Amino acid sequence: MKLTELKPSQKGIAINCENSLLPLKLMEMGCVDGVEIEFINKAPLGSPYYYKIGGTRIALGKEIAEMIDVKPTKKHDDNEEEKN
Amino acid sequence: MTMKKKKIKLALVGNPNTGKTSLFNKLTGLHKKIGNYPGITVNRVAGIFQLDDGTLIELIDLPGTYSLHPNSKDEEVVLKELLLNRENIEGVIVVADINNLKKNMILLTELQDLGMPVMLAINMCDEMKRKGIEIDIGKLEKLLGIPVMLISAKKAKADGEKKGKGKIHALKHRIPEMFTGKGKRFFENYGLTALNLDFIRDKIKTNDLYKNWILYTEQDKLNEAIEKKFPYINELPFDRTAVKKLLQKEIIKRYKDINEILKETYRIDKSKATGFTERIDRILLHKYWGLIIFAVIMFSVFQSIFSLASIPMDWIDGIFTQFSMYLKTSLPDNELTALLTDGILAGIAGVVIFVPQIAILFLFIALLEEMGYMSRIVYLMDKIMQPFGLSGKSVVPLLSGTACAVPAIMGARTIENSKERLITILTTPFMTCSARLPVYTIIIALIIPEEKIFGMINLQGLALFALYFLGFASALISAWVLSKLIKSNYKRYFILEMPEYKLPILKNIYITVIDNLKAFVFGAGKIIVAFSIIIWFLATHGPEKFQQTETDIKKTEKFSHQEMNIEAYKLENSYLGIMGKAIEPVIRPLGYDWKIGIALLTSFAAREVFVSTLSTIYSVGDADNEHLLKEKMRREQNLFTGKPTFTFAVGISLLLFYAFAMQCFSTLATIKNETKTWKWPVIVFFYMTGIAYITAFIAYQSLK
Ligand SMILES: Nc1nc2c(ncn2[C@@H]2O[C@H](COP(=O)(O)OP(=O)(O)OP(=O)(O)O)[C@@H](O)[C@H]2O)c(=O)[nH]1
Ligand SMILES: [Mg+2]
Repeated sequence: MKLTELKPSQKGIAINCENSLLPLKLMEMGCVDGVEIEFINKAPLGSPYYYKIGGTRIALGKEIAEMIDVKPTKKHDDNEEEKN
Repeated sequence: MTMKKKKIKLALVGNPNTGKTSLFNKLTGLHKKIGNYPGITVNRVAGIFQLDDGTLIELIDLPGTYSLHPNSKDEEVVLKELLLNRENIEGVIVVADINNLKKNMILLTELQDLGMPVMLAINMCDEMKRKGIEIDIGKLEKLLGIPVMLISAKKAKADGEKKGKGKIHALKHRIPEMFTGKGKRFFENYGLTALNLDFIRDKIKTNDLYKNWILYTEQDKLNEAIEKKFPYINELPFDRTAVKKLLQKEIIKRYKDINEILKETYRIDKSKATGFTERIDRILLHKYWGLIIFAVIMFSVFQSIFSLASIPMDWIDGIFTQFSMYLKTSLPDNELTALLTDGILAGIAGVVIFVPQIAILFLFIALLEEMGYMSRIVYLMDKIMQPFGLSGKSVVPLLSGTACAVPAIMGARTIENSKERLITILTTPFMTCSARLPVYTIIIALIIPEEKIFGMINLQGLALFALYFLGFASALISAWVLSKLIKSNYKRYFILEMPEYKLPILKNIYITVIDNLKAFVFGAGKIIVAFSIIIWFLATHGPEKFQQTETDIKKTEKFSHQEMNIEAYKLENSYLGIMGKAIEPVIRPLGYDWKIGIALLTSFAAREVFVSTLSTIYSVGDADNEHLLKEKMRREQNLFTGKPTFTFAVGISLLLFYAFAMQCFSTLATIKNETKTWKWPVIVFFYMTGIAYITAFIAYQSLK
């Protein structure tokens, strides 16, 4: 599902960050496949979206967030994430 | 490289907001702006410090960047400085945030691949315990092959830094080690370049492989240097999509290597994470409350600027009045004294009186930046600014444009999209900067009665508020117009790191406020003194006719009016009067006489000069010098009609003229600098001044 479809506080695992349409900066900031993304909040007029990607808080314009796909996780496992 | 050399040039490099500037200040003592908004440093700044053995270190503070592949102009500064200025910069201190070491190390590994002497300074170690972070520094050093230091730019004092102990002191003295070790290289093992760089293998040294890879991938940003120094790059085929794929692969490989290293050296206890920042953000960025909270914050900021500043402003006013009276009574009563008191002193008073307001304005902007709220403003405003061709990031320049347009325009470097950046640069000068305040204040005091409507709203305050609003509205409207006119084929995208909320470091705020105040007072002060003297000279000297004035008048006039008329007649025939008369036809339709015209003209150097120029002219043209400028302006009459010069219509016309006209040479020079062409400053000048002329004309003609 699209990153923009996550519910507040819901988490997902990024699956297509290595997509050539996305700015390189995003990957540099840690948004790579397999990273855990948590949706935090959406700006009042519907964009940007605010996520916690790995250990970094990043706001993304809707146009970008829509290009990223995630696999939602039910209840995330703390120990699993720590190894990253 | 050996340490025999007496001077070494180092650069501070790292992700945005990792504390580079804070560390820079700690090391050099040179005060630079600090803030908790990514992209506070947009320029290179240099300072110097000394090691115990006498070696001088010249340190350069660079803007934050995530990698050597720039997305915006401030990041380009870093790339150019490191890649093309190698003779200059001999080594790099990478400043990393301990909370997010992994992300910070992408840039570190790239710099190691460039073959630069590197040292890693892991900052914010004061937060380690609270966040449950553990690091094995010794192992990290071994794996990376470079010196690694754990520091805190915040808690340096508690560390005993002053007494020559402490972590930052230790960091200083490990600088020589950068040049002796052998840093690990990463890129060589990635096997990515085969596709392209193999064509030129014979032309480059193996050591320079990564450098050439960067030159090749960033060739559109470096074309000048490539043409001059690396022409072979241009001969290579370039397929943008293929290159991007390779770059993405490169990052993944880097993350893999970094994960390997950190697995053995870095541990964070996830259960210690409080999610404090996220929880605050759920309130401050709430769907409905977010914008309301923002509006309330902005309103209280501007409200308090005026209410808090009014008391110290009264003090300053009192002090200057007293001082000027004292000078007048103790110095001989001649024109030189008048120049000193009514020209220079009045002009400087006209600027200094705004120090409290500007200090509070800078204080609030610095607080918003330090505490991390500035990024939230950008986030909240992005969608709102979009229809005007602006980005959320344009809000920061626009906001700081209420203090001064020059640093504000430079702040636009963080905007990735070149069209949005250009529009931000071109519209920021419309914002009501502090230099307009002296002019607004004196004219409002002349034409708007000091009354309250509905028993509570101060009319003069309302007028000032209307002018602020006018500035903001015209910035937005012209942005909208420009966005329709300027073509761009770049796609807009928005990516912004949201920093943690932090308690402000009071010293950082103090430094920001003091630095900016100094620039404001001394910058304006110099121009005011220079112009007052020039104006005074031109007003008291003149060609033949001027010198014959007294005999002329004695022949023609009656004795009783003599004195006043001699002064006025002389002024009209001075060099200044002749110049003024020459431009009078142009400004007459706006309701101004030649004296206002001269003040207008000198204002093109800096707006604040308006006040001192008028004071100088009126004190030369007036025999008795006892009145303050405001009173003189009120009494000033048209020589022919005998009516007051500053009517309501003239006042409004002047306010509009100053609201719109491009009267600041520093701003134009900055625009030239940022856009790399004279085209834009010229356009801004004529566009803004044109609007000023037309609106002032319409206002005067319909109100008179
Ligand atoms: N807790 C803590 N905060 C710090 C430390 N050093 C800096 N900060 C804070 O981090 C924020 C950013 O500091 P700056 O010095 O402006 O960072 P910078 O790397 O120069 O930022 P850019 O110029 O935007 O790239 C400020 O809010 C500082 O108060 C530290 O050692 N500990
Ligand atoms: Mg900085």
